[in-house]
Amino acid sequence: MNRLCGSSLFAGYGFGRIVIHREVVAAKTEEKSQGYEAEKARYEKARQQVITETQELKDREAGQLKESELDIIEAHLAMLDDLDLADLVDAGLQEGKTAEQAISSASDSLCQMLESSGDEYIAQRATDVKEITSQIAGALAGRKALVLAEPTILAADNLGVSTLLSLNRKLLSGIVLYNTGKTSHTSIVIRSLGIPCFIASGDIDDSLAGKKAILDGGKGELLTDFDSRVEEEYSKKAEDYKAEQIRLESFRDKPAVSKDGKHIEVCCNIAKSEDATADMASFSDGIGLFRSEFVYLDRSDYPDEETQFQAYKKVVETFGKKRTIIRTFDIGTDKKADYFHLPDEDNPALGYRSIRICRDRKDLFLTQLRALCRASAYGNLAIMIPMIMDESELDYAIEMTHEAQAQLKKENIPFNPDMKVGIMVETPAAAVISDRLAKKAAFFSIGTNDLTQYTLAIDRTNENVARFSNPHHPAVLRLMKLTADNAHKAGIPVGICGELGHDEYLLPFFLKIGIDELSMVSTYVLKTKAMVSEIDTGKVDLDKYIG
Amino acid sequence: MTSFEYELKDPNGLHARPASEMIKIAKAYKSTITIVFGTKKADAKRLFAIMSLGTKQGSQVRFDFDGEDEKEACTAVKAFVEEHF
Repeated sequence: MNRLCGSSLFAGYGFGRIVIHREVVAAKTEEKSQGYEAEKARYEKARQQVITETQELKDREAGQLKESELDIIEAHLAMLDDLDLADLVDAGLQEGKTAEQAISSASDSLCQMLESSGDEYIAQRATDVKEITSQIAGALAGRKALVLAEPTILAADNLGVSTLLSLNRKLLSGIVLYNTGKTSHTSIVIRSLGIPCFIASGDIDDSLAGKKAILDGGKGELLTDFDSRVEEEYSKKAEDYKAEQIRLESFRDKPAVSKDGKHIEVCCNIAKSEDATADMASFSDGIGLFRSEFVYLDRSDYPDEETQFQAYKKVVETFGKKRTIIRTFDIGTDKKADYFHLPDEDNPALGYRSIRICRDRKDLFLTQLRALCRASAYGNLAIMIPMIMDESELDYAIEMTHEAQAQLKKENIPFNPDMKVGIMVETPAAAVISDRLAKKAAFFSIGTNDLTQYTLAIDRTNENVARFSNPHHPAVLRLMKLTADNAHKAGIPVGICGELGHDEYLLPFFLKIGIDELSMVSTYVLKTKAMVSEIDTGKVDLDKYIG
Repeated sequence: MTSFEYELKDPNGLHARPASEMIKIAKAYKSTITIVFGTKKADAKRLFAIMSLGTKQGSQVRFDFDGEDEKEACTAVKAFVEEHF
């Protein structure tokens, strides 16, 4: 048996024969032009063919495609008709290039033009340019449209959205993508269509063509040359997976309620505004943790107020009445942005990070708070301050929030004056004085990853001690219970965000101590709702956890 | 020359889909139509030129119309821009 591995894009199993597809045809540089008129005619014929195919695709699929997919096709049609493309190709042909060479250099120029706009959204449209120009190049090479004849696993290099959408979905059982990023249009469309898929690196192995294959999207594996025993094993897995999916789907519109009627909110953790989708807003109860530091990372300079405002507003609007909790930036030497110019430290987890930086860099904190307060006018937004260990830090954060709001009021910019300010409970100190913090914080959210590392004194990034770490340690759990009890005494809600949110062993404990909200990676939300429905808190023995 | 100024309300600025509709309108007129954004200029009949202006929400742009049917062109383009951007 042979196995090809990669990184999962969409879970599920696919069975079929492998078809190889390469979207981009490289122009041969050594070929000579047949003369301007002849090359021009060839180019025009190819371009018209692509326009016709794209138009047909649009007409055929219009009813089934999502708005965003239709957008892409519309943009392609406009680009195929664009004067800049026509001029660039024409100039190339005048210089004595072949149609293939002219389209290839026009494509490069247009991509450069878009990438130089300095705008990420526009720069991404370079993908669309590459796609339409490679379609024209394909038409020039006399390539026929890809048609599937039997259940197929597609191994595709630079797969374009139009090509993907043109395929018979009933026969497309899985895809292995090459040279395609997880956030590309193609990847987004594959996820929305729900096709089992993973991304492989390197080049397509041509010997795979025509082979019988099994694709495991969740694991990111493609199996070939297997015996019937493996095939049986996988068809059983696929059946179980399907049945489980159907069972979990039934929880989509339902709240998470235990057997004895205890309700708990199940929310999602996100890192980027693009992560928040309408689908997520439909099956979860909100965003329990938006890690805003990701708005700061992978940049060369501080994001300004407007950039941040747009990112926060987008998420808040997507979730409407459901609450979005945005954590102010948790930057430190472990999650580092160069322009912060943070000194190197021996022990970053115990070092200069998040609220500690905010206390020195008032300007920075105020910019983020202004952006957050502005976004609060557009939905149900709450903010959460990380790394709190005493009341003065919370006082400072609340004071700064009031200052941001006062500034906005003066400038006649709308904000929600009732926006809640809560804290992360992730230092043992915060848990121990949670009675005092509860008097000032609007809510608590227990950050289980950091609370575990600080309580057990085990660096979570140090592989040598990873095996000693135990998030089920009664010390960690007692701190959680103490925090929950103090929150409830003060009448404020308490949530859990971090890896433990969907921990099967701890779920009964969380329900028993009255945790109000769990926040986790979105893929675990339905599973967690299903697990909650099977718990009877009357039967949970707290001693088992903290006795 | 006829002109109008406009502050973009659309979160993505002058982006592909509505821009391609606007181009169809612009192409119906003989006048030269130029979009001015800061120091950058783009022919309003060219999609890539418009996209690479890199406009976004809040951007202040000016449309200049020059030619025999500039008044009519301005009325038509302005109506579309106000509704879609």
